[in-house]
Amino acid sequence: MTAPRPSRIALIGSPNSGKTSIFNQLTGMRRRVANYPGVTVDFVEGELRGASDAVVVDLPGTYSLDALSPDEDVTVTELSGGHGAAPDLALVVADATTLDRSMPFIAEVLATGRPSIVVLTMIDELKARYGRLDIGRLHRRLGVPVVGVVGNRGLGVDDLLAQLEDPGKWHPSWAELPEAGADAAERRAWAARTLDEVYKAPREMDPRTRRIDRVLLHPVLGLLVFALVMTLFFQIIFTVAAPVQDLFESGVLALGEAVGGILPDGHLRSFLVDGVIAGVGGVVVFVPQIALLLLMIALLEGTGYMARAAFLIDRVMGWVGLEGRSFVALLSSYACAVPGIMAARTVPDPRSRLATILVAPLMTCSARLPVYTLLIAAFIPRSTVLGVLNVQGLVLLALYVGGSLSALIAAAFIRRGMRRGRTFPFYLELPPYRVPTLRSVWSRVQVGVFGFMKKAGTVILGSMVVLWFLLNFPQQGAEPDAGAEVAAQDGAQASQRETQASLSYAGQLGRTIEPAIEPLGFDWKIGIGLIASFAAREVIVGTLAQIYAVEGGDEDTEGLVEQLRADTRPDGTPVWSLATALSLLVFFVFALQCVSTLAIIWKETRALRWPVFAFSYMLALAWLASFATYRIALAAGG
Amino acid sequence: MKATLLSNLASGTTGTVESIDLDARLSGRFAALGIHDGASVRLVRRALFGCPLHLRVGGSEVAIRRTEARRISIRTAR
Repeated sequence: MTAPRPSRIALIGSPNSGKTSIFNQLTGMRRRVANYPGVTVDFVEGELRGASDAVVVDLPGTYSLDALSPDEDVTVTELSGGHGAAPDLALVVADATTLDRSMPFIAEVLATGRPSIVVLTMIDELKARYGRLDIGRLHRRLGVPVVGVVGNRGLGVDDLLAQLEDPGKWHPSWAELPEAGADAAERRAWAARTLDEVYKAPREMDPRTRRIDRVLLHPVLGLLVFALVMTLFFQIIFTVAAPVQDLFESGVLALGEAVGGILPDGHLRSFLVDGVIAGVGGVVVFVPQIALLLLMIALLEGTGYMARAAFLIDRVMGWVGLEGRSFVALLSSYACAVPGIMAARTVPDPRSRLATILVAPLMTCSARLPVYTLLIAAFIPRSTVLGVLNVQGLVLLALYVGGSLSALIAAAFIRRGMRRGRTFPFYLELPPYRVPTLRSVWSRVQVGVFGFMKKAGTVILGSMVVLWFLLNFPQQGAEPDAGAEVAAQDGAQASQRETQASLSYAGQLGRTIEPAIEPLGFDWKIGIGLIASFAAREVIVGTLAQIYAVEGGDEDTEGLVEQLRADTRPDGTPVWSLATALSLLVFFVFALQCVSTLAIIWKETRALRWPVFAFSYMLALAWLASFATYRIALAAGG
Repeated sequence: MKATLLSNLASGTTGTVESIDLDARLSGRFAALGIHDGASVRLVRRALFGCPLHLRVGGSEVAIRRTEARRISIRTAR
């Protein structure tokens, strides 16, 4: 007979204490992101392994129950039941190698009287560095179960699962804890007394970390390594992912042909082949790049290098009124601005946080990658400079650098416009270097890729369906319900397709905005793409794929890249000059074309004026920068 | 024994925190990071242009800015 299991188990502890690997062990990574209406929260929940009625919650790390930043506030609120039911059990996670520091926090949590189990991670590292811990005696001093684990290898997890079955022991009723009202100094004194008998801290800092830091944090050498890491980062995205992407592309084309071969000519075939497969497929082919980007961010975070990068760059961030942690939020924005903006919750200073949120969309997110790679592949020569550096990779790097620099400059202006007030201090923990586990890296990549696929299945598919209707109606040269006839008329087909696209609703819309974008070198087709891309940037790729599919006819199986290169104006000049391509690239560097980002800015700042402000200033920036690029490129002979 | 500010400590030397002149919540946070009265703090290195400061304290490593380090009084052996 087993006792009833807790139905809500909250993981709390300081950042880097190993909560997430415990979470992964307890749930087998069956996570789901919870969204609580009315509160700006989302953190990770998952079902306890083998118990569908119990939920494990992974909360943002916090150093104390006195929350300074909004992400810590999420944790404190959850613990006090502010999100609904208070957790039935708190798993207080602490790194055994730095127990001197985390013990006062453990005391703080236990003093609330909440049912708790203390989980100590990195037990193996403690031993390896000649530390010592008597878990049995610590348990007697704390009064709640104490479990030592090695989270990433799963050691001790069975013991923890066994303790979850025993609710009678979770109450710290008979231990000599400091009282709930005790101040920090009293808790520290208690922690020192308690640990004195049962714990010996590791003799010294992890020597490997110290040696590595001597190079990576060196004032000059460290910055060189940082520049090298960033360059490699973007070279890898372009050189490694490209062949895989070609494979995906031929797969999408083959699928389109196969479906086109089975279905009879008509609306259904056109809808499926030109609309759904060309549109969504055009975006899905970028999964390899996005996965690679997420993989590298996961590696940078998992190894501990991300914190070093924040240390090295804090000075620069300080000049523009941000801080090292803003850098981490901005770097996450390379994957997607939405988690980046949410990561800005870790910035305690409200004005730094707002500035971080308002410039995060300028960072080159993975949704821009499909657009960049398409245009670069089509219009930037595939040559090398200095023997090894690929020009296409360098252009991509330049776009990333351009976005990042503009974010910093924008931050400086935004901070200048704010009133001065109390500043919050900057502090940043530099965790020991670790080899990240396959499991944790995989889970990061998986969550990001699934998120992207979900977007492809909802926002992008929806946009593609709407666009198909706008492109194919009103029907030209045939009865609306007799689309089969259109394709049957062999001779006049090509010109008829052209007419169809340009006279459709979408074509009319494109022509309406043409005067506004013509100075940037864009025609009405790009105009349709731009309008569509305000739902989500990558939609422009599928949009162009659809426009050219409608124009080019169903038998056309050449890739979008070739179609763009071959497209001409009525007078025979190419639509896509190098100047147009560069101008469009620059437009995408600046414009905030993303409904999800606008929504998250609204949600995180709780004021409509901020998404409106961000959208407006970035649109103005995009137009001006594109105009300048186009004119300069034309003058230079592009 | 010599009194000075954490911001003036030479790289590679250790001192003991005497007092922290920050408001209660912020000094509370520094305490949670291991920087509190009586704690032994080692200045490992400074970043380019002298900020931020890389500290070793209570078995872990923390970076803070010079602005805050100026408000932390310490005592060194020499």
